[in-house]
Amino acid sequence: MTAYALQKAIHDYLNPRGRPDPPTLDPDALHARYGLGEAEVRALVEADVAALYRLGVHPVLLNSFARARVPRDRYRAALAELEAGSAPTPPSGEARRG
Amino acid sequence: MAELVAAVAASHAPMLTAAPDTAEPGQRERVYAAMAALRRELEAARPDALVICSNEHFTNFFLDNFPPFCIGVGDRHVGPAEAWLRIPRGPVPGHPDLGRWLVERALAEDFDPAFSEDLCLDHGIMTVLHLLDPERRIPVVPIVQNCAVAPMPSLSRCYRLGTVLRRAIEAWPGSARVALIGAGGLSHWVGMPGMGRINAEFDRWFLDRLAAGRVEDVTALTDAEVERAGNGAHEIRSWLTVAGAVAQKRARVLAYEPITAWVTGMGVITYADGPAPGE
Repeated sequence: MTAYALQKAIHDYLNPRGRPDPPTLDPDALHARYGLGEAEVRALVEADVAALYRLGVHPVLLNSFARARVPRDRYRAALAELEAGSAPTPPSGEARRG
Repeated sequence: MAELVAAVAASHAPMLTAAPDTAEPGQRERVYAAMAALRRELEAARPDALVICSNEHFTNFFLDNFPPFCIGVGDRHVGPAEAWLRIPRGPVPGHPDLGRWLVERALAEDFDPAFSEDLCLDHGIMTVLHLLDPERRIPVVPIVQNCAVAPMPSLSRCYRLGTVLRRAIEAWPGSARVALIGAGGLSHWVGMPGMGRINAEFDRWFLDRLAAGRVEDVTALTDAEVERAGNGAHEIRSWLTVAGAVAQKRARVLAYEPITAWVTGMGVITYADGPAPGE
């Protein structure tokens, strides 16, 4: 699986405009609609910033999701933890194209 | 003939409105004072329309279709997208005639923007607009640029977009007064390790280039060189579009503050003549 489906799920969740069936973070629905695996579903439901980053979510999309779902302090702590773990810092989109 | 009556640019940052008090008070006040100066400048310029260049944050587009540029041609837009921005969500008046004219003239100059009648405006435009026209009285033509997902339009292409916009505005058959606003971050890291870091050296170099009229030094940068100031630094494209519209003019820097709490280098510039705040 590429990160495309995971990112599509995030994008749909954040941008429900005009959709008759606004997406939720229901695990069964995430699996059925997007074909997400257990790790992806768990990362989304728990709004696990570090896990989503490692799964390849584009940083700008991840930021939108985190701002909507995660307290600011927790969000920054997750990124700081990633940095302390020497997470790679890929160029925008180059390694995260979908 | 329409007239370009103002050209300005400012950093956008969600915390500018969502949590302004997190900044060190002196820094916050200097940025707000500069934004107030821009507001006064716009009020004096009496624009009939605002053309606002900012960038796409996955608000309107996704990886299935991510245009380099999209011009909003709706008779109204809606914003902000983010409920937590502490800006009332509601309609923003559009200027469909001007928007469509900009698209048509761009196409005539072999520049191929997408267009949309249904753009949702996020913090990129709404934070700056909220400080410049909080009552949303002036119709807006939003232009969203891809400053996030590679491959992005080149820096020089974004600069040239500004020259096209300038010619289009001046060729418009109406008698409108148009202000051009760039709204994009300077250095910052978004959604990745490093968030909160600011490359003030890059920011000051960039602003110095605009103030010296040496934009070619900036457009010569590669994306990798820009990224030394963070993945969010690609948003300087919106500033370059404004620079392209005013061609040889030199920017006047009204403020620059590296505000860690807002995770962004906060700059404010104008291309109008006159003293800086406090002079």
